[in-house]
Amino acid sequence: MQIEFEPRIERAIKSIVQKTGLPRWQVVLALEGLEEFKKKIPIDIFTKSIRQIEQDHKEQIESIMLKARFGQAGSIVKRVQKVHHRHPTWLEKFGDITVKPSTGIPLAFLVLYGIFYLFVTLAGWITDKIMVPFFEGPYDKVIHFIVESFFPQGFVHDILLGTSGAGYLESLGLLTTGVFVPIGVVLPAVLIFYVILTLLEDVGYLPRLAVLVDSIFHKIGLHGYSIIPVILAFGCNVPGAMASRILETKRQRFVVLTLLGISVPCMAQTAVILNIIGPFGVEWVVVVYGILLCIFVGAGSLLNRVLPGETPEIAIEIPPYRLPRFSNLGMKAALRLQRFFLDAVPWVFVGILIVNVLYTLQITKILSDVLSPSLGGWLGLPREAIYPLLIGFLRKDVATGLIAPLLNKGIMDIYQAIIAVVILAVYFPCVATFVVFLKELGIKDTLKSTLLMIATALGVGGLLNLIFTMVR
Amino acid sequence: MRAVLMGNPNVGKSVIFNRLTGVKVVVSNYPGTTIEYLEGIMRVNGVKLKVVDAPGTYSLIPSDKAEEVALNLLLRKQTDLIINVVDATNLERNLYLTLQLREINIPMILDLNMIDAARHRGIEIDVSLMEKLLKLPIVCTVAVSGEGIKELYQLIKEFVVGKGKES
Repeated sequence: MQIEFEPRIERAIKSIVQKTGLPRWQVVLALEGLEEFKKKIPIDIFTKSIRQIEQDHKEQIESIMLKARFGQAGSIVKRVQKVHHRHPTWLEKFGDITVKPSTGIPLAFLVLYGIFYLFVTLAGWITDKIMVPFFEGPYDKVIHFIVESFFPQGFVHDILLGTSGAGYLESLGLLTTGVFVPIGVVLPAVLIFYVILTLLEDVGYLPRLAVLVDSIFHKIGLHGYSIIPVILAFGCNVPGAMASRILETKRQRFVVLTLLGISVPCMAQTAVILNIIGPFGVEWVVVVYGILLCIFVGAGSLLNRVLPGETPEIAIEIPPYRLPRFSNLGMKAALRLQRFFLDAVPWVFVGILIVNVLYTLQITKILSDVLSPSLGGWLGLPREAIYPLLIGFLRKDVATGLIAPLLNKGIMDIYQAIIAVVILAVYFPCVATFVVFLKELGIKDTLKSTLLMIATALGVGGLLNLIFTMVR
Repeated sequence: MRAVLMGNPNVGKSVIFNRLTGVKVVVSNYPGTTIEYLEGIMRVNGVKLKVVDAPGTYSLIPSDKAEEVALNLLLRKQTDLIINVVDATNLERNLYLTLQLREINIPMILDLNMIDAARHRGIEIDVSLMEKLLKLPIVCTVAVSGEGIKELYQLIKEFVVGKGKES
């Protein structure tokens, strides 16, 4: 279908079509600013055809075309649409309340606090009251019976069941820790998180949160909409990193991805942090997240200063509040859980297998001999900390779990545990996230980002060690 | 044959895609949920029609990576049919893309989605006049409840049958 523009623009289109032989639609899109087709038109033909129009309108051809298009759309709408007056519904009134800063910001705090509280209580309750009794009771008996009737002792027995007498978080057997960490600890957290996230998504709260945090985010070189990749990353860094595509400039994507890798722990990590630091008191968990938040803001404002370029303002579309549909909630949560099982659980197994192999071959002993001076001196960590730090490249939950036995046996104190947990969160994203980084940023920027992470991890780790030696 | 679902962000393309192909997709109430595209197959009259769920885009001139993906889906491969999903409560803004799509010589069906929300807000649309002005078939749907999906399927079927007679 041919859509008419004003006579002068039509003449320009016709003359370009005649001179280049391109189809009309490609010429129209070129005038609207599509680089791909603009390149097909010799520059002199292009500028000559539009010069007079740009002079008359005192505007770039792209904006002239933009206005013309909206003019066309407007005239159609005027003819086909009738709007009857009607009072705003309660959902619309509520929508206004949640974006107006004076009422929106307190509400946002309330919502986020409520979510955090609900999340911690529910996930903790499922783990403590259902999962732990199940794994330590019937599951333990059955699994021991089956394995021991085939392999009464030896290497296979140890790999499957791990160190006997140790708890399920730390024994490092494939069937003990390997099943307990993803299902007993991480699954409840992931489940609760995704149900809450899905609800927020479907209702339409996230874009409103984006508007509220916009001015804060501009200080770290991002605009408010970056809150969406950040929130998704709290579930798992992989979808979070992928969602960075909604940002327009490469600079913003680099900043968001680096900040995600550096300071946003995924649900798997959060679950284990709650599990091992939680028993020492909620205030220690708050300390860990406070440190990560400081890193987020600090690294963000630093990147904003160092990287060339600016953060463009954008207009974002805020959808109306909609009542969620339970069928969609269920389907989405199920899809995400399925991804968790397919993507995460195999890596947990690989991680545990590697720990066992490294341990048997004594490779970790050699590595810890080499690295322990720097580990011990600058970071103040015992040599055993090398295990979690190595496995952290693969899976953050298994790695964080490895800190538990060190804490329980008194090899580490709570301060060292916090340093280790923070370093694990900062120094490198897990393999799966790294692959997404490569895809989204390319090799060069991924390396840059990784170097930044390692530098931050060492810097922050050392600094924490200094501070902790003073307070201890 | 290949059909591409195009439309502004957050108008319900993924829900329609799910209704047409049965492929499960993550659907949310904010712009930019679909960043990668998804493909599914639907069978119409014994013919396999590949349906592509493109990321939402406001214009054919891309301003971010997801919009680039959408443009490439449309232009890089043979596209036989465009299903343009339009938010009936935001007609003017949505028609901007519709008009751009209309420039391209690819058969097109327009799906006025969320027609229930539009009615609810007192918006009345003269569909038959709009069909005449844009010279394309229009169907009204409420994707989340399934209203109008049969009619959309019928339009797709007519297109496929017509295409079959041509060749």
